[in-house]
Amino acid sequence: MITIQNLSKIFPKRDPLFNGASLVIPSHSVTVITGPSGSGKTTLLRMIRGDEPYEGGRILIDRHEVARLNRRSSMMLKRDMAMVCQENNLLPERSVLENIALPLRIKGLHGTLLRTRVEKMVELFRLEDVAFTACGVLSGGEKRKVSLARALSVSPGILLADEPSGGLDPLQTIELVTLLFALPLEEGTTLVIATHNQTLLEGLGVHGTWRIREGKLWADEAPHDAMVEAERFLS
Amino acid sequence: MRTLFYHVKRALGEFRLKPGSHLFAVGTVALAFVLAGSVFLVSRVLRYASDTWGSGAMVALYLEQGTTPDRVETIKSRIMELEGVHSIKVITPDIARKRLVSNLQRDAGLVSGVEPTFFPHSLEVVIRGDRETVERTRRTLGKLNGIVSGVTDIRGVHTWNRKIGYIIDIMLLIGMILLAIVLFASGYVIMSTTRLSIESRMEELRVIKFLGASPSFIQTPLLLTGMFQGLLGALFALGALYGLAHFTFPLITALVGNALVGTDTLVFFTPTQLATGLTIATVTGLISGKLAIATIKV
Repeated sequence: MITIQNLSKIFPKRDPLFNGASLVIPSHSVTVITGPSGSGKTTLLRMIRGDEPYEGGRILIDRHEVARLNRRSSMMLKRDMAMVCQENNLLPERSVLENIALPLRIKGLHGTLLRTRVEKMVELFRLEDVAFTACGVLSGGEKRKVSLARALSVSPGILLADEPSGGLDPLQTIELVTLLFALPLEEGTTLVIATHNQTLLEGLGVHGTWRIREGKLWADEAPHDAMVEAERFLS
Repeated sequence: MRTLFYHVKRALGEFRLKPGSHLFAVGTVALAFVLAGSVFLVSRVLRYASDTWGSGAMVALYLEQGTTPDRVETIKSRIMELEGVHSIKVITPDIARKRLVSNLQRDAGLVSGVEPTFFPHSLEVVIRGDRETVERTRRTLGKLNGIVSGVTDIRGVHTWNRKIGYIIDIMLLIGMILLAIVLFASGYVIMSTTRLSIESRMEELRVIKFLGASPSFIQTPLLLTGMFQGLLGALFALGALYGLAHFTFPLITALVGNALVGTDTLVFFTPTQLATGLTIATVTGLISGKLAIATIKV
């Protein structure tokens, strides 16, 4: 479970972001954070992952406060919290197989276990034809698929997907949505998607949608009071 | 173990990616070690020669007039117990006189009227062993003058042993200074190539870190690359030095003779010295890599 309580982020010469925002993302759920470009969706995901500092409030993953984790715990958290970024973060000189295998190697997997997992991802994301191709020469859609396959290869507890449909046409978006939901739900991953893409929103069967508007988080389809739930969880 | 194997593969892969800069680093290390190694090798050859020449080191102990044969025997037996003493020859005044006559040849008449008792009784001590043993025993004998009754003077017949010892010591000192300089230079080159490597792979390292890699996962291939540079450089240097020794040794022995060099087999480093050299080179690579990582924030 991800619990955000009274969160605020201050940028120099700008209004504070998420001025006291709170929300609870239950485990094994699909939650969408939406809002216009530049509203702070990526920043929120980065803060959840511990990549971006925040000035006020708390972010808890289960009962661990992200900002207070030591280097080792933060590293372990990142291994269990995969993120698909807009820029994909792939290694362009390395092949699709190597890119998918990388987080598994970081986790200490080798040999048959690693191979089986990578092959499963390649098959699931239909990347067989480009398996040995360097990622730098792939199309945008293929890169996004590799990025997603790499994120899901480690069966993360939480998957943060930042604009997963960015740069994809509607057909590719539908294919991606199918893939995005296939494995995480099967493996009990908590999925947090940040997007401004209405097509994607329509295609998703989500448990909660949060909208960032004027620097604040608003529950779109979550009738419960997030603050109350957060307090209840923390007490 | 498999993780280490993966890192080794990555480190070797680094050599394939940027062969030019890595070969430059390996070449610099090799050149540096050839320079330092040559000095050590020459000092080793000199030591061989010195040890061999030291087999005939002789010290003469002059005894008081009228020392009794019993006393001479006692002194002789005591000296015989010293390390490296090979033989002791008692030179009676008569033998001394005969030697002088023989040396003077045509001028032998000069000593015809001299009393036989004018010549001193002496002991000629032959010391054999390596340079250190000869030097140690020579010093011990030197201390006997004035302490052991009957001994009036002590002369080192051959001083070349000490002189060559100084040369070896100076060569070793030069070798050490040279080694320190070349280690610094090699370390600097390895550090620079590691820095270049990091800077060119900054994006890749950022992605690996983003995926939750530990600092050791990020740093190990870089450190291994530095270690391989040092190790390969030292191995090349050893090969070059062996080749150099292989070709020059017969030339030296042909010029000055086996007896003067002290051995007819190729003089090269001992296995312990080889292992030490390789370890020093590898550790230099490791430290340089570590310094490079410390100076760049990944």
